[in-house]
Order: sequence, then C-alpha cells, then structure tokens
Amino acid sequence: MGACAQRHLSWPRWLALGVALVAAPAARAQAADVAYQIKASYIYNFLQFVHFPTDVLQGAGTLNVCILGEDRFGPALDEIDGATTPQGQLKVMRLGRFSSSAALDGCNVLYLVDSERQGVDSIMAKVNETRVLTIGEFAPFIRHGGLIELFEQNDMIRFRINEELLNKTAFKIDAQLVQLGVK
Amino acid sequence: MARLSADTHPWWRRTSLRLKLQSSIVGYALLVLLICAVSLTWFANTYFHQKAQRDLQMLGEVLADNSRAAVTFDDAGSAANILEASKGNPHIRMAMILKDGKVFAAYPPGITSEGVDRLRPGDGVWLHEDHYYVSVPIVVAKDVKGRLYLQSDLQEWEEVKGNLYKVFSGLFAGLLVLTGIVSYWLNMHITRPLSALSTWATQVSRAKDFNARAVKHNDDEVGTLVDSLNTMLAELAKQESIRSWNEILETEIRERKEVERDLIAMRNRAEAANQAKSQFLANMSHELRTPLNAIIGYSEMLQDVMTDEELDRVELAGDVDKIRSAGKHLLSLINDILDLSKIEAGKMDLSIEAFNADELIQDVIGTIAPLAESRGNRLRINVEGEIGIIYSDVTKIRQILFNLLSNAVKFTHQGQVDLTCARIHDVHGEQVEFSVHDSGIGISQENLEVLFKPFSQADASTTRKYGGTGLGLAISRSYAKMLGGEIVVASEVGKGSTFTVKFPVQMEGIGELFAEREATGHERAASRELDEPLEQTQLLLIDDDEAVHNILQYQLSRHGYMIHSAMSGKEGLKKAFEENFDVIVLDILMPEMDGWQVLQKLKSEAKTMSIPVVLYTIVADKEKGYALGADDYLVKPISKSKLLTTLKNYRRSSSNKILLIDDDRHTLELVDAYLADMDYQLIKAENGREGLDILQVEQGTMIILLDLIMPVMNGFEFIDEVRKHPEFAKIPIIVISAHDLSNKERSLLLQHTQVIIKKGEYSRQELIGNIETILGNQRDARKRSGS
Repeated sequence: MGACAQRHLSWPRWLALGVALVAAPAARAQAADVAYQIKASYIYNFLQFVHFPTDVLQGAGTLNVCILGEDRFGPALDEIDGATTPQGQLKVMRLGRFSSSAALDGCNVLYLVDSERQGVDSIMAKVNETRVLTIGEFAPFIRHGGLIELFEQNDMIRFRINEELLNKTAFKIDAQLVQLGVK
Repeated sequence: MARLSADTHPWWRRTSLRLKLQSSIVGYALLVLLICAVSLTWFANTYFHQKAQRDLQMLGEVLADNSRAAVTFDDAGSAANILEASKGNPHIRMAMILKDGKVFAAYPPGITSEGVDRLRPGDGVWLHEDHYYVSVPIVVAKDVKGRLYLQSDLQEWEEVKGNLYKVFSGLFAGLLVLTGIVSYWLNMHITRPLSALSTWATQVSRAKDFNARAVKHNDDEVGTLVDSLNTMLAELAKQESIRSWNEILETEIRERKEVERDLIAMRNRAEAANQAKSQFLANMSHELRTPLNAIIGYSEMLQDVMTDEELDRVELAGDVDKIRSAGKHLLSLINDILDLSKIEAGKMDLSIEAFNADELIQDVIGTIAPLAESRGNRLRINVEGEIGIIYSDVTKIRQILFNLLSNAVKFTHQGQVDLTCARIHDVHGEQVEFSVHDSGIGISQENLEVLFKPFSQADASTTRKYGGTGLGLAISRSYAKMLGGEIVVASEVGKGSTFTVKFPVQMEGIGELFAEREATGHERAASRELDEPLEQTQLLLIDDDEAVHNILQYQLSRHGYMIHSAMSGKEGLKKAFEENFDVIVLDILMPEMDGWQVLQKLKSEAKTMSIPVVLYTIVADKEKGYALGADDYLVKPISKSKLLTTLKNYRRSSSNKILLIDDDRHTLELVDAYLADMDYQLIKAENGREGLDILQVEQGTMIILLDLIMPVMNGFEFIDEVRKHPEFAKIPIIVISAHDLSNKERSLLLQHTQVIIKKGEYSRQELIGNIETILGNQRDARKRSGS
C-alpha cells in the first residue's frame, strides 16, 4: 500500500514535466516519450472519471489495462501500473501487436496504439465495446466503434468521445469527461 | 396648598395626562418597532451572511467539482467555461482556479493573478473588505489538483438592508400616524372628558356651588367618576347645609349664651340688690326699734311716775299715754312692714312650740279689750268645747288673731264683735278654727278681691279714717298659709264681716322637729339641773280646769317652779296639809268646794296659814279675796309675765350685780331707770369686749342682760367668749335685742341663754319678772349648796 501511495503521489511530477515538455514549442528527441508519458497519465486520468459496474470487473479490485500494439510507452506505463483508482488497482498488460489469437477477454481497458491503425476493424470485432473501455490514439478510431479517440491539437494531446456509444456502455463515463472531450 | 405640593412633585407627575398618554404610546410603539427592527435586521443579517457563506461554499464546491476534469486534463478553456457559469450570479465578482500556484482559469476572463496575494490559503469562507471569499480544493482521486477561489460582494446584503430601512421607515411613519390617531381617540374619550371634569370640579370648588352636577356622557370609568363626583357633591351639599345649620345654631347658641350671661348678671345684681335690701331691712329692724324702744319705755315710766307718785300731774298722763300709744303704733307699723318684707323674701321663720289655746285667747282678748271698749263695742268670746294644747307658732297665731280682732273692732262702732273658737276635724285632719264676726261696715264685693293684697285697705279713705297700714290682712294670710291653714272672709256691706282662720292643731311635718326640739330642751333642762341644782319653788295649783294645769306646768316649770296639781278644793286642802308649799295658786269657781271655802280653810289652819295664796280666777272680786287673806289676786286671762312677776314676790330676793351690755345709750338709761327702784346693782358696758373686762373685775355678777348687735364684739361673740370661762359660763343671760332672729340664731341662743326679749315689746314688769325668776333660782341653788 505504501508503495502504491508512493507511486501514486510521485506520478504528478511526471505529468507536470510531461505537460511542460508538451507545451514546449520545439520537438525534442524524446518528445515521443513525453507524449506517451502524457498518454499514460491520460489512461490513468480517464479511469478517474469512469465507473465500471462490478459484474464487468472479473477480478475484484483490479482494473486490467491492455496495451495493444507497439510498446511506445516505455517505462511510462510502469508509473501507472499498480496505481490505485476508485475502481481498483490498475494492472497494465502489454499485449504487443494484434494477432487473431490475442486474448482480449480479460481487458477492461483496451488501448490501441497507432501501430494497429490497419487492423482496427478486426480488433474491434473481437471487442465488446460496450463492456470494454476502448481508447485509440489515431483517427478516426471513433468511426470504427471506439469510445475515446486521442489526437494532437496545437501540440497538445486532446481527446474526443464517441457520443453514440455513451449511452450503450455498461460502464459510466463522467459527464465532465464527456464535456471535456472535443466534439 | 395644592399648587405648592404640585411644585414639589417631580416633572413626570406634573406632565398632563394627555402628554403622558401620547408619549407612552409613541414610546411603546417605537420600542416595539426598534426591537423588531434590530432583531429583524440582526436576524436578516445573520441569515444573509450564513446564506451567503453557504451559497458561496456550495457554488465553490460545485464549480470545483465541475472543474475537476478540466483541471485534470489541463483544459483551461473548459475550466474557464465552467467558471463562466458563475456569471448567472451577479454578486460573484471573481472566480478563479489556481493550479500549481498559477492562475489556471479565471472569471471574468481578463483578470490576472493580481490580488491573489490577498487570498488566503486554506479552505473555507472568509470575509475580507466587504467581500466574501471561498476557497475550495479541486480533488481528483484524493489528490488536490488545484484550488478554486470565489469572491462575492455584499451588494445583496446592502440591498436587503436598504429594503429593511425602507420597510422600517414606512412602519415608523405608519406608527406615527397610528399613534396620532390613537392619541386623538384617547384624547376624545379619556383625556378631554377628564380634563373637562377637572375644570368643572375646579370651578365648583371655587364657586362653592355644591348643587352643580356633572353631565355624564359615557358609561365607562369616566362615567362612573362623574357619578361618584355627583354623589360626593350631593353629600357635600348635605354637609354644607348641615354646616350652615350648625352655624346658625352656633350663632343662636352664642346669642343665647350672651343673653344667659346677661340674665345671670342681672340675676346676680338682683340677688345682690335683694341681699342689700335684706341687710338693710335687718339693720333697719334693729336701728328703728332701738329708739322706739326708748320712746315707749320712757313714756311708760312717765306714765307710772305720773299715776303712782300722786303728783299733781295726772292731766299729763293722757299726753304721755298718747306718746306711748303712738310709739306702739309706729312700732307695729314697722314690725308689719318688716314682717312683710321677710315674708316676701321667704325669710320668715316659724318657731313651733306647744301652747294652750285658751291662754292665747285670753292674752289676745286682754290686749284688744281696751280698744273694743273705747269703740263702744261688745266683745264676746265663744269657745266651743275644749281646744287644748296646740303645736304651732304662737307668735304668729297671736298676731293673726290680733289683726283680725283689731280690724273688727276698728271698723265697728258701738256694735258686737264675736270671737268663736272651735277644734274641728275635717279632711285636713285636726284643725283649730277661729272666727271673728263683727257687725261693722262690711266690705264690698270688689274690695273683697283686693282685701288680702299688701298695702290695700278696702277703701283708700279708710286709711285716713281708721289708720293702719293695710298690711295686717296680707301678713295674716301669709302666716296662715305658713302654718298650713287659710283665712276666708264673708262680708256684706253695712251688715258686717266674718273672718275665719283655720290651721292644723299640729303642724304637718313639724311634729318630729318639735319633738326633737322638746327633747333637746329637756336634755338641756336636765343638764342644767345637774350642773346647777336649783331648788324649785313648790307651788300647789288648785283648779278644776286641766288646761290651766297644763299651761302653768308649761309656763312655770321653766322658771324654777315645781307644780303640784290638785283638781279639786278637797284634794288641794289635803295636799296642803300633807306637804310644804311655798305658794298656793287657787281658782275660785270649782264644783263642790269653791275657792273661797278653800281659802278660808287654809287660812284657818295653823300649818297652812303662813303659806301665801294667789287667787287665780275670772271672778273679779279682789276685795273679798284680800279680805279672806289672799296675798294676791290675778284675773284670768293672765299673761305669763304677769303671773311670774306676781309669783316672784313669794320667792326670797336680795340685791345683786346685773351686767347690762348694750351699745345704745338710750337702752342703757332706760333699763337703768326700770331697775332704779329695785335692789339691783346695774353695771353697764357698751360692747361685748367691755362686758368681758367688767366680768373679770366685778366678781359675783348674777345675771347678764345682753344686746346682740354691737360694735367691737357682738352678742354672739360675747356668748362664745363667756362660755370659754368656767367661772362665767354659768351666769344666766337675758337677751334683749331688736334684732330679728333666724331660727338658727334662735336655737343657738336658746341653748346658752335663759330668756330672749325683743326690744320695744316688753314692759318693765316683764323684764323684772324675768330677772327675779332667774335670781330666785340662783339664790335657791346657792342656799341649797350652802346648807
């Protein structure tokens, strides 16, 4: 618990650093890392505003966050792995590139890395988007049935939300988050 | 008084009722209003501030909550949008989200972080410079992502306050109006009636018009007060009328008291005047009688001298007699006037004693007979039955009879005068009736009515013709009344008159007094016998009339005679032989053996031959009596003094000193003349003091002749002094005075003196008789004590 709290408390420094880097007008060599750090924190932050019903969560107190695609997060994910949310403890699962045999059933959150842009339909076909919170970092993810679509705007990472899907999901998305999402 | 006390009262007590009511109403309303305003303002203030804080807190929390995602995802635009929602509240002056110490979003959009310095770190609401501030943390997953600040002005409260002021001002204005209305109403219904009542009451009290009545307009307390005032006024009016009545009564009482005082003063003056008159009369009685006494006495002496001494002056005897009779007449007039004065003053005293009616009649007839004879009238006495002893005032009865008889004789010429006496028994008890009938001129009917009034003779001309004062009948009637009797008259002009006087044999209510006096008299006699054992002259009375025995017993026993009674000649002779007597008094007309026979028998016997015999009879045959050896001859009726004078000749006498005390020179000389040819040594003193001195010097004074009214020391004082000296105390005293004695004085004198003689009313014989009697007694006593 102490370790969790330690980790939990330590990550905003990263975030702040990330935001500072993101806000910097000049791209740097490690810009990609910073972006993913931010994205990692986004995942974490999204989960602050999403409420899963207990029947969706198999393992009590554990939220399975599945990263599908190339691992571009690096150690950024480690920061959120094991962090606590109101829903439970995050468990990051790096699934790598999509394959037909990929086991996606245990995922509560499915993050699609840009590398999976091509196979998105087949992936989505395997995912019950009403039960799994799907996040994609490419456009037009929503058009493919995804829930949250991350994108870059004015050197800032923004997101938009699939409003059609909002009322169908088994989990509830906080209205603030919905409002925050770019239309 | 009311005003003075009003000034001393504090001001609030002097304030008018109206002002008090108004001020109290306004004050009360203002107080209520103030309390309402303050409490309401306080409440509103509290409520507003609490609400403002709560609202600000709530708004802050809502905004903070709403801006969580924006802060989390660093979306300043969204945050600004959220903050912009506070523009719906005009009092939110500023909304700001600080993130990492920097302004993340703000409303209104233009503001910078300037003034953030003022914002205090920490949660909650605070007030600063008329602004409320709230600070709410933006918490995401238990992490404070940022801080929301809100600033709210107090404009709303100012508005509320303004509204409150308006409301209260309106209420105050309304209150003033309402107060005005209420106080007007109070004024109309309470203050004004009360003040009108007060003004009215003041007027009533000033005008003292207690008949005024207040008009009652209402039936409330003021109405009750009006009723009470009216009732009180009615009561006051009643009191006022009572008071005025009282004043009238007091005035009347005062006037009456003054009148009463005047009357008392007048009465006192009248009493003083009456006293002065009485005193004057008392003095006069003394002053008038004293010279008259001398005139009468000397004229009597002159008469005696002229007749007895066989001088060739018999023709002058008539003139002297005129002087004497004129003097007597004057004395009787004076006596009448004085008596009448005394009767009118109610100072005439009765002197009750027992006396024999027959003796009285004889006495009066003896006095009136010469007058009747001179008028050529026949005097007839008719005694019906036996009258016996009477208990009454003999002096007054004698005077009545004398008046009636002298009137009868006076107004009858060459006619008949009858005196009828009878003892009768009627409704008033035992009575004695004397009736004087004459065949004189008679009295007319109208004159009968004034007959008994003082100073009125039947006819004014009769005064000139017959003389007299006209007082006789008035005095007689007064005496008769005093004695419990009455005088009635029946008369016919030309045929004569009948006066009848009637009085009780024993005066009612006097019996006890008399008995008491008799007792003291006996006691005194007894004590004198013990002190002074007098040898009594043994007197044998031979008479068949028991009344004579009674009279002599009464008259003589007091003068040293022991009466031995014999009711017949035989009894008398028997006693005369058996006992020794100094003198024998003998009646002539007796049954069986008459006085002549007894006298002869007495003078023929050796044993009785030397005993002096005094004939005492109505038979006037002196020659025969003397021839038969009688020593003296007395014709009935005979006065006591005559009897005593006669009898004293048969008692031994010798020369002795007699002390005469009188301030009147004429009296001294008269008595000296009276006693000149007697064997007495007369020593004269002019007052009591001188008399006492002489008593000290002249031993062997046998008798004192005493006047009462004298200078230096009067008779009464003298008697007192004499009684204090044992050697003089037993000297007998004969009072000779012109003074009218009261009963008290008389009884006092009777205790300490032997005889009381009135000046001008005694003869030489009487005086000598009294002196002889006393001297005889003393000689006998001395002789007895010497033997």
